[in-house]
Amino acid sequence: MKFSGLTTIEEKTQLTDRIFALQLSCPEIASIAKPGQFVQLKLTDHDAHLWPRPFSIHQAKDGIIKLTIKICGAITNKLSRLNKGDNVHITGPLGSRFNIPTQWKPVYLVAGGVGLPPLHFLCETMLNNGCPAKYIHFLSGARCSDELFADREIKSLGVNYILTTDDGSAGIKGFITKPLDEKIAEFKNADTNQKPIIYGCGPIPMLKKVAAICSGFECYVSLEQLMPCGWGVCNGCAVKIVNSNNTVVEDERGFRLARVCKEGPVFKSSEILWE
Amino acid sequence: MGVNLEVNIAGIKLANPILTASGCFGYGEEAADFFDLDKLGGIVAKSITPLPRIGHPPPKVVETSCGMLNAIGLTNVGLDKFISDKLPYLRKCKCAVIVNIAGATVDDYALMAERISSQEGVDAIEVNISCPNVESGGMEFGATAEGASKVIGAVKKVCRVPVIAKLSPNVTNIIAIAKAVEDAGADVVSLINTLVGTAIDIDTKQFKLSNKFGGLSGPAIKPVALGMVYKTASNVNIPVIGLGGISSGNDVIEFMLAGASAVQIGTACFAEPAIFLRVINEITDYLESHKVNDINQIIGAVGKN
Repeated sequence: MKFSGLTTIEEKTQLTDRIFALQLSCPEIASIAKPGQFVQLKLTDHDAHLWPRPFSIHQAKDGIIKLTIKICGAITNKLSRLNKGDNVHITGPLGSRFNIPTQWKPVYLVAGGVGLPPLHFLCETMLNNGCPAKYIHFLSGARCSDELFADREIKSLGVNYILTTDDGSAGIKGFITKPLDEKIAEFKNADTNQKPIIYGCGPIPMLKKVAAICSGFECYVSLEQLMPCGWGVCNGCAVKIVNSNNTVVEDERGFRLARVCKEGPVFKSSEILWE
Repeated sequence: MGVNLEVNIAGIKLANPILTASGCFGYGEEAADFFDLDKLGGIVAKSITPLPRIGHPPPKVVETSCGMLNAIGLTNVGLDKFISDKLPYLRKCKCAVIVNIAGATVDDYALMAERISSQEGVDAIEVNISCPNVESGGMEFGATAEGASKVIGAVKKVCRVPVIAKLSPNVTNIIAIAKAVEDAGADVVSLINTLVGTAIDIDTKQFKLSNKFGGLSGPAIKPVALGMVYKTASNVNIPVIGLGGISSGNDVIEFMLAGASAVQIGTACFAEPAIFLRVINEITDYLESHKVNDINQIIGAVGKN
């Protein structure tokens, strides 16, 4: 069973000017959540916006779900004003998960901005499952040093870590896709079983670039989209897909749609029709 | 005090008057992750068309003040796949199962009504003559008394279970349409479907929906729906199912006072998949606190003392 109902904020932490973390008490979700999955949050006292808002699960343990949220509109702004003890309506865990390899091999986790949380969750899960830290390459991109919110935590995991910022105020200057491109180029002629797996989450232009760089590799991306329901019934979040049977519907012309909330948010990068 | 929530619609016994609205509940199985579907009065499945439809390209939905626009375009698996893959699950539910059908021609509707109503486990057919999001058929039929009557008449000829005509609010005289479908043999009417509207992105100067227009739903349309349900219920002799913006037990009571014998909840279940259980509790509380022991007593009771 999944859970849909009220949950209580156990802790709120301001991480940067515009990014904060909520720890929510929800054993029903925390006990079954997997990296890549998300929850839908809805404010209890706000009816002007009908839709809940989706957030990737950053961490799930000991009955607590951690979400890391960037203020980017009216709802996230209101969420940022909630405090310990306040209630919020939660539904989850929703969507597909990152496919974790059965035999350890190099993996590249490519995060853009607040696309980092599900990859952090994936990284910790793989380490807990016994993946040697040397196999994990965490590539994290941010706009500037003021928007870093998990730098220390990632470093403390002991994995390979590359940080970029658009303005060079921390790490390497530029987009995270540049170091990714250099790393992946080293594997172009490698045998299939030597090739790394790539996982990406971040803004669409970044994911599009990741998909292009990793063409021919096993590469997964997690898409972000506003969704009226999040549990597969409204079809509002559907995206066009290709080369895949991972579909909700195919019509007589052979066009296919997949729901970001149900077949996704994690897709193979080769399945997405990048427009 | 035990409160009776059971209502009867054209011979179909509903354990309570709470139904899911078509298009907002998939084919039932999705919500089983959240609550026991047997607790519902009934499930109205997503519109089925003769062939699978992918619907409109994204973007298909827009959030608006206290509502949303959708231009899904009847995305569905098609008649054959519905019968082979989706109906077996619905059939197992103890609540009523109502299958919604949509078509481009009168023949489409008749064909589907005949095939679906001959399947085991289908309690009624809801005929969607009010979808604003398809190029032909749909609302085209529901917009005139003549068109509505033609479709319902053809469906009634072949349908083996009660027929519910789902009406569009995008008409000048809802009473005339409701009377026309009643005369054509409809056993029940359900209303309202969505109101046609649009939204524009002022930065890109583009329509926010790929289809330009969509159907407005949510609390924003509740007063319109309630008014139309009242007008219709006061003028036809068949049961009325009310829908449009319902998100609480109080909303349900309002619709029933206006004359609805049952209601459907659609958009509000997106954010709260288990809303149906909350609403059932809320209507029970209302009846108990108002010392009403049978919900049937409040149907159409507005203005009567």
